[in-house]
Amino acid sequence: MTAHIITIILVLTDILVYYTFLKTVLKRKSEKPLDYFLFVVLFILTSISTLFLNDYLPVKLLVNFILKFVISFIVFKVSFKKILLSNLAYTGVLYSIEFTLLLIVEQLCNVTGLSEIPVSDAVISELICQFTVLIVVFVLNIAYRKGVFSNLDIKGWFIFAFFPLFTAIAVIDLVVSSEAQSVKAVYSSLSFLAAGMFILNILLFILLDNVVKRENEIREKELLFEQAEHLNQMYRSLSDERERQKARSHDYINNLNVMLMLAREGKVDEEIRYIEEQLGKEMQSVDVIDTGNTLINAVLNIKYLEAKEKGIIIPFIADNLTGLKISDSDLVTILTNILDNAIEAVQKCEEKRIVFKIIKDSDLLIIDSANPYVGQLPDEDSFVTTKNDKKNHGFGLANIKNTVKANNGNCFIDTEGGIFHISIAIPLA
Amino acid sequence: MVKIALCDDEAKFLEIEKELIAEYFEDKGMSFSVESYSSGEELLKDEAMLKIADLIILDVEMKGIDGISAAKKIREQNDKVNIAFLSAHMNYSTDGYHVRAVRFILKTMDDIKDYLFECLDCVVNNLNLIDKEITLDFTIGKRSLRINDIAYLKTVGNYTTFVLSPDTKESYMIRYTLKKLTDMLKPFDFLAVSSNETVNLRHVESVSRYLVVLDNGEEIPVSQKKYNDVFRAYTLFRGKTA
Repeated sequence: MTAHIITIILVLTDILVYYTFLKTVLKRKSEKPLDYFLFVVLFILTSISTLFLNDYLPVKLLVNFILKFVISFIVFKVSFKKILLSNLAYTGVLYSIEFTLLLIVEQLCNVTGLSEIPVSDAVISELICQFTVLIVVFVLNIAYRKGVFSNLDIKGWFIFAFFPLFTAIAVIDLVVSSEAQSVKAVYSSLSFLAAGMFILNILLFILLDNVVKRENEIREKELLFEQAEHLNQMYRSLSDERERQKARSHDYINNLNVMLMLAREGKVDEEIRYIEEQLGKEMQSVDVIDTGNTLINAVLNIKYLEAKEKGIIIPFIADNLTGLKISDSDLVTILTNILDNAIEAVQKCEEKRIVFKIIKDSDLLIIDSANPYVGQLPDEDSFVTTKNDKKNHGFGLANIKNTVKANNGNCFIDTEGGIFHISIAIPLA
Repeated sequence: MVKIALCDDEAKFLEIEKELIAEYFEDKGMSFSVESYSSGEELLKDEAMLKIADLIILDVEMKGIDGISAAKKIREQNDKVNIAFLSAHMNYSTDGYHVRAVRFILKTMDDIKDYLFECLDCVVNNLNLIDKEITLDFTIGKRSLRINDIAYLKTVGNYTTFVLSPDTKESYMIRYTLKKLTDMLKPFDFLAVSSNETVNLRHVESVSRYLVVLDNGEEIPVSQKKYNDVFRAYTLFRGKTA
């Protein structure tokens, strides 16, 4: 009777560890009462099968596996593949630990001279196994929170599950062959182990490749995010400008009223003085640069003012830029990135000049910018930033190149002679 | 000597420009000459000046003929002179015909000096590049050539031939390797397009897959290996001189 009770307790602990494992691996955060109910059902059914099928080990194992599989499928509601893989992973982890412990115990027996493992020790070893699995689960949990596994997709998981499974099979094989005590068996085990290791290495490469691909996807999304940020900035400036424009219209009406009043009162000289004064003020606030293209004007004028505040001059050479086929967001991306980087680089130089051209030349739109720079330039391909805020900067050049490519254009950079020169040619049609 | 023509209907600004130009060239120790005109019509009448000027600075907003129209007329007579526009606002939207101004100088009091000096830097640099001569011992004897007149170089056995544009009757050959000459002329925008030919980018009309077309109509093949470099250098050059 005690043996039965002990068996049931062991099943209970096993189910609990199994549940914790699944929750970690399948990232389940919330629990519903139904889940508990189903796991209690699992516990009862597994206890029954363990008690009654104890003499038919393979059948017992299979039945338990199927029970676990079915209940986890109902509770966790993820895809068939994921359930299968997580169950296999659990089985793999559990058996590898169990058989490793078995090996250790056997070695201990050989060393200390004990010939049999007492029953109580079997229970203890079972509990130790489960405890070890619990530790593994705990480690997995921490790894999850740190996002170690977040870059794996289903294919990556499949490959990853192979590791514990292979370990389990290899260990079992080793145990069996060491029991058989034949050199041939040992050799075949070792060859199996060697072959498996070789395959593991290959799988590791595939796994890493998988992770790298995901990283690239993430990076691309960050690029897009930066692009959107620039566009937002532009729109915000434009809407600010609208507000200023409304205020100016208001002022204009006031001015007209003043002039009307002065005219009615015959105060001609005062009126003339007043008008001259107002004209002077107005002339200063008109845009410095006008290409006919509202958006490009917005970008160039804002950057011109920004540069002027920092003592930088930008001799602009431009054309009539109306009717361009390139999208607004692409133009903003290219122009703001080039000018931002140029302004930043030139600040540390003696000669604070950025020669910036945006012109039409036969069938091409040419955007060209040259500015001096000091110190080391980041690697052309990655343009990883030296700025502290790594997350938000450094995508400039990548952004420019991608946008130009998307418009069937060419973008080249030359950094000789202390001048950073970027030249872009985009077909107009 | 750098020859400059100023055209502005405001005497005050003519004075300011003359002073700034004098300051610039005295600093550099270079000789220069400045002629002032108070209207577009006056400038256009002086055909002699239009032919020899290195730089013409035109105020955009003038009574009578405005700067842009004046520039168009100047271009009809002189395709090569550097033209710079002076204005408080850089307005590019009205130009239907591309006058190819080298710079737009801001006419506001706090900007004019910096922008004018930058413009002068650019023009002086260009003049150096165009007027520079090279003296070598050719098979026909020691000769000086204007670098800008060289269209391309071609290997013929142990010798390299200089092909000039516009072509002269004389044949310029020298017993230097192409590589040596290319290295010498690299600062003047010369580029090897194959193992046998080096072109002067200033004479290139277009670059396509595996062919370079020059302004004298000649076509030079580009080796596959060098194509990427050639296209890159050409695009950068085109942007630089646009």
